[in-house]
Amino acid sequence: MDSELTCVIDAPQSNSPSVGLGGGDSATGDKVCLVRATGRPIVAPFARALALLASFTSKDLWCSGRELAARTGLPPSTAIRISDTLVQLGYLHYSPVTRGYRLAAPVVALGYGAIANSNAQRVARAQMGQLAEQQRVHVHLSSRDRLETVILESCSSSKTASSHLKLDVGTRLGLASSPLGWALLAALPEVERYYLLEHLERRAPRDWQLLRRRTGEGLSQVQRLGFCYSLGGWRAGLAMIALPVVVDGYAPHVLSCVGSAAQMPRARVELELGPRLVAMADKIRYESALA
Amino acid sequence: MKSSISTPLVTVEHGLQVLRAFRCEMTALGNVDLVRRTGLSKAIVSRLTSTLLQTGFLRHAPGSRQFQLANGPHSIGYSFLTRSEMVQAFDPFLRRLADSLNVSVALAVGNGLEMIYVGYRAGHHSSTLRMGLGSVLPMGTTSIGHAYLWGVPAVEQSQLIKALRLQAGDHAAAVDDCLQSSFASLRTSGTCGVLGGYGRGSFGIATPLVAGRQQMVMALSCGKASIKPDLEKEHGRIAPELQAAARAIEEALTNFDGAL
Repeated sequence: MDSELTCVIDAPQSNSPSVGLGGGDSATGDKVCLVRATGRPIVAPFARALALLASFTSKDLWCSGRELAARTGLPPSTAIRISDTLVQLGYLHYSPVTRGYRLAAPVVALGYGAIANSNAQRVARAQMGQLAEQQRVHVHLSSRDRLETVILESCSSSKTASSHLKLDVGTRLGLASSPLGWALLAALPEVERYYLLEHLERRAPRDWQLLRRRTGEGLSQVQRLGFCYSLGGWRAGLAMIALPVVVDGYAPHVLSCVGSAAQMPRARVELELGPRLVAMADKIRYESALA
Repeated sequence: MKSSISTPLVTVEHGLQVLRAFRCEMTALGNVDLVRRTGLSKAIVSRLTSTLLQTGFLRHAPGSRQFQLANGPHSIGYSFLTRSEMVQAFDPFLRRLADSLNVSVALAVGNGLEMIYVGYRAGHHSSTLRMGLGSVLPMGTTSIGHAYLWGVPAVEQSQLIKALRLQAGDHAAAVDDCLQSSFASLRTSGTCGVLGGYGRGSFGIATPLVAGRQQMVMALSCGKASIKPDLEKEHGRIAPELQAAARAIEEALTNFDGAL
């Protein structure tokens, strides 16, 4: 589990082309297959290709090799070589006109559907839309990826004035830095929670005192109220409520709602929106078990 | 077993094959299952799953040593789908067809020897067929695969059929029979139907289409799971609307210059 939390891209780069997996002993050459201190092998060309695919966002159309290199931390020559490999395999398109790359259709086969088609998420999506519309807020569903929470689903009211506060699908927030992470940590077994906190501390030793205190407050809010919130403290002018949703057979998810601080005063958060979200989480749990 | 002599290209291809072997399902799989599904050696599969685990593309299923798809792949697919104008353009047609015939409707592209659903809509009562966007189906044994093969240029078609025979091994003759009967149907009616091609008790009726200025070949299919379906009757019911929808999609995408 330790290595799951380390960044892959910091693997040593070699200037000569990597030769990928050898047929035989994997541990003999660092270019062949990097073996980490943990003893877990990582196949460097493959890890780089995954990082490159993941570096595209929903705002990109064409992306230059240089831009991809900057995003992944790979040297430009390596980024371009891997991109060309992905073009050959059909996962990226290359345009000689824009001299850029973009994602191609086969990327949806890499696992997108597992989450998008999952019962829990289908059930959640319907309910989130309703709440967003009724309450004129943004409603998000997220889950954990290493030391961050990732937004999986995002619903907004068509009537909300605060559209700039919406968090897009794919947005990542550190586990200790927002109510999303606090709610997620609250859903985990104690051992796993402390394990993650330890790693977070190693990552951000400078801000740790503040983050640790806020995380502690968030955890106790979840215990007391069933949800945690931040009114302008996480980001000025923005209020956020979050709570865990635990569905059998799935890793814990977090349900959250975001609006302007003016629109979400403490009384509304504690007496109306918070309890609504708690009821919704129960309903999602119940209905996805039936589906 | 496939050869294990590898270039970075082959390594990346194998790695992505392992990810695809999950078929966009939450089902937990172990290395042994993945060896069976991909045909790669156990040593290679275990290094690839280790990499996928460490990069957040797979995780251990709760309380198990088996693997499950994690969140990594979700945002890649999402980024593609929200940026693809073509996907946005054909989606309403799929929805209309699904509602009108009460079937699930899929639009797929070929990739290797597999078909990938790039569009999907389910009718009101077809939730029993658990597929969706991103699903990966075999080209050789499904109606959507056969329709696609019928649509691609002759040279590509014969290459693909040759590769499918090779892949089928002992079952090559059966795959051939099924394919020939689909081709006969496509030649006369423009559509083909395959029973139980994917999951027993289900059927698919499919037709090819060519989209955009780059003349991209895709296949459109209607499917349903039911007890003892009468394929001939369903084929007759579905074919006219299916073909009309395929022409409407071609029309709507005529001026698209981009690739999908």
